[in-house]
Amino acid sequence: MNPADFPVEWANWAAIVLFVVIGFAVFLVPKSMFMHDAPDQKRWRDVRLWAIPLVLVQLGLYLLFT
Amino acid sequence: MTTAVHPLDLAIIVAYLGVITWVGLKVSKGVKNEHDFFLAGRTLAWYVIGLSIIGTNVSAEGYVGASGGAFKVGIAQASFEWIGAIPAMILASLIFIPVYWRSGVYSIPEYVGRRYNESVRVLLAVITSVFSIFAIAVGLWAMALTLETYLDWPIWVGILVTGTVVGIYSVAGGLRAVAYTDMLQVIVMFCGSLVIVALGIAQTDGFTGFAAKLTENNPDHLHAFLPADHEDFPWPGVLMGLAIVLSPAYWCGSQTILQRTLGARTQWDASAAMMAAAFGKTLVPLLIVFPGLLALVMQADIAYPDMALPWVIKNVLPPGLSGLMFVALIAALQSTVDSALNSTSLMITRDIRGVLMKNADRSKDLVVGRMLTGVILAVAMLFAPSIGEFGGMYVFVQTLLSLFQGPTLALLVLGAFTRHVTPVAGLVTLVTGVALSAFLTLFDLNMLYVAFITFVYSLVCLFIVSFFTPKLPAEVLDRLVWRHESR
Repeated sequence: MNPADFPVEWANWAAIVLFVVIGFAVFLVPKSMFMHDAPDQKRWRDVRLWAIPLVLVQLGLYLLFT
Repeated sequence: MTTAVHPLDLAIIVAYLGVITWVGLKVSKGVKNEHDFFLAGRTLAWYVIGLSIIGTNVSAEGYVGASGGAFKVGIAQASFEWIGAIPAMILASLIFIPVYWRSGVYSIPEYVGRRYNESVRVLLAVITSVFSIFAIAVGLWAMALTLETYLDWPIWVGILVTGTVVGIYSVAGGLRAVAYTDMLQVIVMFCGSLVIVALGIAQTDGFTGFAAKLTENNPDHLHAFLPADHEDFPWPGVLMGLAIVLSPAYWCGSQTILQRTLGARTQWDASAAMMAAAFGKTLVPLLIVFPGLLALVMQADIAYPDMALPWVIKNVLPPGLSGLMFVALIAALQSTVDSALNSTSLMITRDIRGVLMKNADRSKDLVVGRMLTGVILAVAMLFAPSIGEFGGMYVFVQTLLSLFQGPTLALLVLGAFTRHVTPVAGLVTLVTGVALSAFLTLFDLNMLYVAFITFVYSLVCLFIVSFFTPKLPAEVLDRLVWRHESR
């Protein structure tokens, strides 16, 4: 199959897979990397958790605009 | 298309320029040394930095171009901003910002200089600085052109007014003034764009009516990607070249973007700022591509796609609100130009002057930095009216910069993640990688694929040459390489 003929839907699926992988991969980064000098250790300051809604929004967008 | 200036429009523009200058000068107090000027004394909070990142990223010509792109290809224009930004911003937030922060550098060229050698540092600083000066001139020219078209201001008046306002607070306050004014500018930009969206949706029978009209004659305009045989943006190229190479090279390696994160009050603020900016980066593309889609739905009779935004301003916005939109455009311009000014001044002061003139008096860095900020702006303002004549040179510099992206990203990735790569290997990779990029551009190959190929080559070259060349001492690497247990 010629690469130029690859269906465009594959791109959406590739993007979705990429964001799912990112959603899990962020938790491989230890909290100490960015939390050690935070003003406090409250849960909301864990920026890895911020990545979750961010990734979910991207998944929604790429599912919507297929 | 010139129209008489509505007094309300003019009042909004004048009030905006006045407020920005006042805020810029207000936060400028307390700049005592180069640390205050270039890194805001490391006092910036995450929400200030996050908004400033968005402001720096969205330029006036980018705003106009994104609307034009959406008119032509639809929502895929916004998708370039999502897949071409969000993964890289998450990477920057969690990996690269902590590494840069811990190394204690002022700039990305300085980090590369410590990780590899001073030649690499100066080379990157020079090419980035030259590009920035051209980019500032292009931004000023684009804005002046818009002001001339709609407000009948002569080109030189537009350049003088917008340039002077930016110059006053950038020279006086450095990064702190830049970041705080960026924050206000982004809020203005959001408000102006939201007004267009609200009015546009109202005029096209709600969102459902809007989407139905859009897809009636343009069935592919709600697809996130373009076909694999698309001339400019084939989806495999977008995924490999943009998402994997160009986007991380920008978000993890651009001094203009990352400088404000190095000015954060804590490392947590720096990481949180980039993650917060990623939320803004998800919303902003929808706002800035909307005028292009609206022009399409309203069947605008325009000669070329980039006229979409001007058409919407003229035909959708009532008098008074046009002023708000102009202000949004001026805000987009200023927030990009002031950041480029500050970061270019930093790179010339520390990464070029500081390396090439070893005996230079470092206590004069603040004076030199302020002076350079003024000089860079003056040069860009002088260039701006004749940017058309220098357009070919700008394209040349832009192409030159793009040749560096693949090799530079390889240097950053392996430099930050492994202790294996060496200074000599870094220089060899940069030189041969750029040469390979230049060679590949001789063929009819999309730049997205060129970026991907040179990135892969550079990874392999850097890795292999490092086996045969001396490494940096372990204690030096401790501060420059990401460690799983690192603090």
